[in-house]
Amino acid sequence: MEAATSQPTAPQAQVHHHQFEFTGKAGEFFKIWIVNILLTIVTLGIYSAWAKVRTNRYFYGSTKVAGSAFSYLADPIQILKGRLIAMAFLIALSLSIEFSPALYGILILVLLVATPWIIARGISFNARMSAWRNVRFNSKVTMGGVFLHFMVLPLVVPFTMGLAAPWVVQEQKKYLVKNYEFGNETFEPTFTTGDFYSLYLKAFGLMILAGLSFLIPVAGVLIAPLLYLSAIALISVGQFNLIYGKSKLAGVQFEASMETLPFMWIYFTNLLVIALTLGLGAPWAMVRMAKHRADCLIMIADDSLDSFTDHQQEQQSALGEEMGDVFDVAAGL
Amino acid sequence: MTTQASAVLKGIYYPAGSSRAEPAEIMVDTYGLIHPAVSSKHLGIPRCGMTEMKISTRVGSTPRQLRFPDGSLFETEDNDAVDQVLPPGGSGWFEGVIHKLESKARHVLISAAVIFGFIYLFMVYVVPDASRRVAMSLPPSVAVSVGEGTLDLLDDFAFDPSRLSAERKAELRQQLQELAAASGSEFTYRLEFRSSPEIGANAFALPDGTLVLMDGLEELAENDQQIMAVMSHEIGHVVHRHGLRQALQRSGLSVMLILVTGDIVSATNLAAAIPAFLLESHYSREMETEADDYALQHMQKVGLEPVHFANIMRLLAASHGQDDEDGMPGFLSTHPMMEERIERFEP
Repeated sequence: MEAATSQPTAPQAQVHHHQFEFTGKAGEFFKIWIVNILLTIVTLGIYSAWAKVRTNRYFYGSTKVAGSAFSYLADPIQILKGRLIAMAFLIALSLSIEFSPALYGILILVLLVATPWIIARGISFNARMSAWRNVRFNSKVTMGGVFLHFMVLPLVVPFTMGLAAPWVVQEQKKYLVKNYEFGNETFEPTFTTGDFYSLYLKAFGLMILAGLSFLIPVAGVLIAPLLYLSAIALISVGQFNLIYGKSKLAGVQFEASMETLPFMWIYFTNLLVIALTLGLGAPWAMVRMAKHRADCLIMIADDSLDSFTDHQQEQQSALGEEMGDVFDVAAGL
Repeated sequence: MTTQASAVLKGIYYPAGSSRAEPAEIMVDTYGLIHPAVSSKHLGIPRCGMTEMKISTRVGSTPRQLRFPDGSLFETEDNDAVDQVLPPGGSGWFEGVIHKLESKARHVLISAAVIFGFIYLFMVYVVPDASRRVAMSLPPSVAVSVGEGTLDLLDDFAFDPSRLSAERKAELRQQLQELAAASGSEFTYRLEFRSSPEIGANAFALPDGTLVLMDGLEELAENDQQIMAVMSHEIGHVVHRHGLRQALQRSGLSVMLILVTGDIVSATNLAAAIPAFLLESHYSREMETEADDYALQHMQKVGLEPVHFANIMRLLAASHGQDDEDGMPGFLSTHPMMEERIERFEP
């Protein structure tokens, strides 16, 4: 659906506001989801690669902006290969922990050394498999850059008693954004270290309040965890707004307006529904969250929206991403 | 090649290598050839046959992508019309079947039933049975290596040294050796003594044949036959390689959980952990029964009255009260079945 409205106040170039929208439906996705699980089980996991691709294609294909949907282009066979290798490694790991601590140590060491490579490959694979309007995304992150930003920089945090944490997070996000490309253009982060400090300062204030509220008799036990959780929600919502709202792509800007309380409400009611339905409510919850995220995003673009060009790149294996998937080391936006 | 149907598809055309989006209409004729509609002639849409196109498979109601040989793209939400004009025998037949499966409510309900049935069968029968077979076919040295370091770990975190006299320890060790000799088991048995106010009266078997007797149990037992009854039960755990089987089951379960939940949001992993937890306790109950079977047979073989086992169980039940569910893989971790277990040893 075209949701473009021209801004009468804009003097020269035509500027349009395009609302992101998520058109997926819980009922429709539920069917895809449950068939995914069924076939994954009866094929002893082989189908999981197709399941992942179909899930991603559903969510990408249901997310639309300026009349066009996103698309996910990965080939299930490619993902299956990566997944089999990762699975073999995981089985070796979980067996070695029981039978041979020495082998376990070696495998863990191999994993640690390979982690930056896995993360970098995962990020760029995911980016390259995403497209909009027949133009692909890409990420130029490298093994060295990932090692520096995600393994070296965090070491600074304990030495500064946590004071450097907002700076480190900001550096990480900036690294990811400025290496992200759409066609021939590169994203440009405009958020600053100050943005992250003020966000973390607010969250820190909430945490202090949480600590103090323990002193309130009876009600304190309820209020404190709630305040603590809202501090965490504040950070993830704030980062969403900073990263999407303060990143530019040539003549395109974004407006991210997620709010903490609605996000928390959706998050916790989702968890509740998933628990009460023994997991069957998960598709509904996923669709609901995707809808909320899309509702909070607006793309502001001039006519340059039509002028991105694609450049073809060589094929890339899914190995890195799948290793990252299984070992949960992904570092996404 | 001819197809029966022809169709007009409305959508958006994206020229190759650019983000330009042009609303367009294309026509697929009865020969499977694509022509731009009159209104879209100026867009430079290539003319070609459907068989030369790369057509994405159908996922729900998300837009369908038809890629031309030159890299340009036509995107349409008219999924049904695309299905009608698909060339027969294309590469997408597999996912076409998947889509049919996904779009019928009846199929979906059957899927759900099959999933639950399969998970149940797999976890309750396949995993325990497979781990039993594997555990019993491995050499005893493997079972031994599973337990390596366990006692050191328990010493660091849970156990205090025993206060029993050296003579008493020697006496009990002698009794264990007699029991073990009669069992003909291929493990080397060793008796260790520890104490712990939190654990109280209890006994454990490690996979390598080390039995740990807590001081509390020695104090609680009215006679040595009762302690030997407990030892017989613990030897049962060792002989049946319960430690190794538990390790294998846990690996099997975690692989299964990753397979099933790998593509589900992480929040549901929490829900998925609940059945896994229930199964763990189900498995360990099964193992207690197996160890009891072994103890019953073994006691009869060496001429110990089975009633001693019943007596020490009653004493243990009384000393631990009803609140003992500490999760230790020990002698008493299955309270609800206590009465049932005791009755089997009574004349």
